[in-house]
Amino acid sequence: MTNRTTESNTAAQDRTATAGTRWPSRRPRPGHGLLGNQRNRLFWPFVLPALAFYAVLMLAPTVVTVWISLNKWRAQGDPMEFVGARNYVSLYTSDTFRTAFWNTLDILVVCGVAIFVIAFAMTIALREMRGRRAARSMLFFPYLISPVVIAIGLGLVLDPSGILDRGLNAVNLASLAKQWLAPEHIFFTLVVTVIWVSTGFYVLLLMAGVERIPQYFYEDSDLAGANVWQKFRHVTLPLTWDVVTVAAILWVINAFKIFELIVAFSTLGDAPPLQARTLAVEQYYMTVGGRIPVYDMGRGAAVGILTLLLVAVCVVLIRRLMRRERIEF
Amino acid sequence: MRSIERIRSVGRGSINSEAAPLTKGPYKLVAAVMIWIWVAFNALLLIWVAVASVKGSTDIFSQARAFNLPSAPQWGNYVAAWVDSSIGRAFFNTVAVTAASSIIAVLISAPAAYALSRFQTRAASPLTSLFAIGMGIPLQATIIPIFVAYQAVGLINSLVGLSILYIAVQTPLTVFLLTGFFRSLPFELEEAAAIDGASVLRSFGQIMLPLARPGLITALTLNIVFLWNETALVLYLVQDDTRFTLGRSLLNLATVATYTSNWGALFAGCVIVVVPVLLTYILLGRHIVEGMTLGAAK
Repeated sequence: MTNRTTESNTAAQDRTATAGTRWPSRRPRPGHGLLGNQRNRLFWPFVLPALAFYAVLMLAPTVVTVWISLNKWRAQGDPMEFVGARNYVSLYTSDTFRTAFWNTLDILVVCGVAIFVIAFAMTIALREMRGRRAARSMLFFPYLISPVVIAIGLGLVLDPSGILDRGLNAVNLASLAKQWLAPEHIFFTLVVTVIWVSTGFYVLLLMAGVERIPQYFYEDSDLAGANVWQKFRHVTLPLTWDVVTVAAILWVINAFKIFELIVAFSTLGDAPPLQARTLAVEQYYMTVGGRIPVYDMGRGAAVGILTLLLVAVCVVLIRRLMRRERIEF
Repeated sequence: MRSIERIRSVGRGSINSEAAPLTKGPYKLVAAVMIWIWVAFNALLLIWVAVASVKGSTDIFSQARAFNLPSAPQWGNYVAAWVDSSIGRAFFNTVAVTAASSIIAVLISAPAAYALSRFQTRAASPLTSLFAIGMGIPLQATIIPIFVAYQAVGLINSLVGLSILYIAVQTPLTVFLLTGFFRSLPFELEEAAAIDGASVLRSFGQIMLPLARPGLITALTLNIVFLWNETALVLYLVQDDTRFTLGRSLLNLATVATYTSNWGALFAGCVIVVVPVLLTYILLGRHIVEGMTLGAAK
């Protein structure tokens, strides 16, 4: 772990680096070496407990999952049979998997765009709105509630005898009333729900960024006669660019996690309908989920690895696409 | 200094936008109306669930009485949920698992974050990145070997097994949050302590930890809120309903309610799950907001 090549150091620092110790650092602090030696002896004892949990229960399983995904295996007791990439090929040709794959990407893109557009629109308005902290708290609250409760609570609204359809009937819009949780409409319902639950969180993030922008930037733009859009385009967006990048990465990570909500929306049947399947749901019902689990661990592992790769690719893409010169203010 | 200011500004919010003049224009008005409609919907749904939890089960989805308040609150729904549907047991399971995992995760992450942010070792920077990667690893990529291993060692259906996994899952985020906090503390204090002859352990325990208390509370609160609602891992690892936590138990209750139409108990169960989160949000909301925005506002 203490490999010299793991961190890029200047030649000068390399010369001062003796076995195990390295100081001065990039920003030398006077007097800092006072604790240096004692500190370095304590580095591993301090880091190891956390690292052990993380390495044993997250890093190692990820590596093992790669191996399992190359085997045909029905869990404990069944001998593993190495099949190479066959699990991946089988997923590629499976209609169920394709549906789950495109559903996941649909959620990622459609909900993602909607969430960021709405969150920015709200943030701009909230900046000058009275009672914005109360509003922000209420917008954000659904994000803290268990997705199971969200799904059950929405049942009151979305059930055929719930508030929404009842209300539509009452105002003579019965043609718009739908079985929102039935297979043919569940995906639409899911997309709207995810937008509703998540937007508050991204408003919170963007507001934290916007509140750091000094007021005089906006006063200047007002004097110059800038309209709402121009202020957003030339002040808010460039000065919150870093926050937006992190928020986008968090969205990618969160989007692939959506799982309990879908399971909870379909407590009626054995498993969620094909229309509501995402990669996470697909993996669950391919392995240990459902009334009679299939225990198809090899294919399930392949889904897991594909999910991980998708997250990684999206994060790298976002970092690449959004890289800008950092603006200091 | 910058980072301390940032933490303050996130925590206390508006520092400089108070004097903003309300710009005229239809946009502000339309947006404000939309926001308040959204807020009202959230509040009403919350109230609606609370009202449903004290209604007679047949009234909740009834044609005639769906919009009526109950003539007398049906507290029996709560008894039915707590006792008959084992939400009570699930509640204590959840409290135990959440408390143990959140506390241990902070206990092991605090020294790690301290070492990673303040010690001048070669391994610090790559290890910090390694922990950060953990925040992006989806459970789908780890759960299958864990399921098989837990089966082999008898940790399926075990609250201890679940807690151990929870600690691991929360460690990357906790280390990340605390690293940021320790980094924002002034170096001079430690130097002064060292000059006075305090050992590293002492300076960590008696100077840095107390200073990082707001950060520790933030990390703990976030862990509690996340783990309280965690249901996915329970779906994978717990089949025995005496070991269910709240989310899983509520799913069970929902499935049962579709046959028994015991909707009152189901919504009572929802209230039982939400109230602790609501209280935490009211009491420690500042910490939750701070923790959730800390990474982004960097």
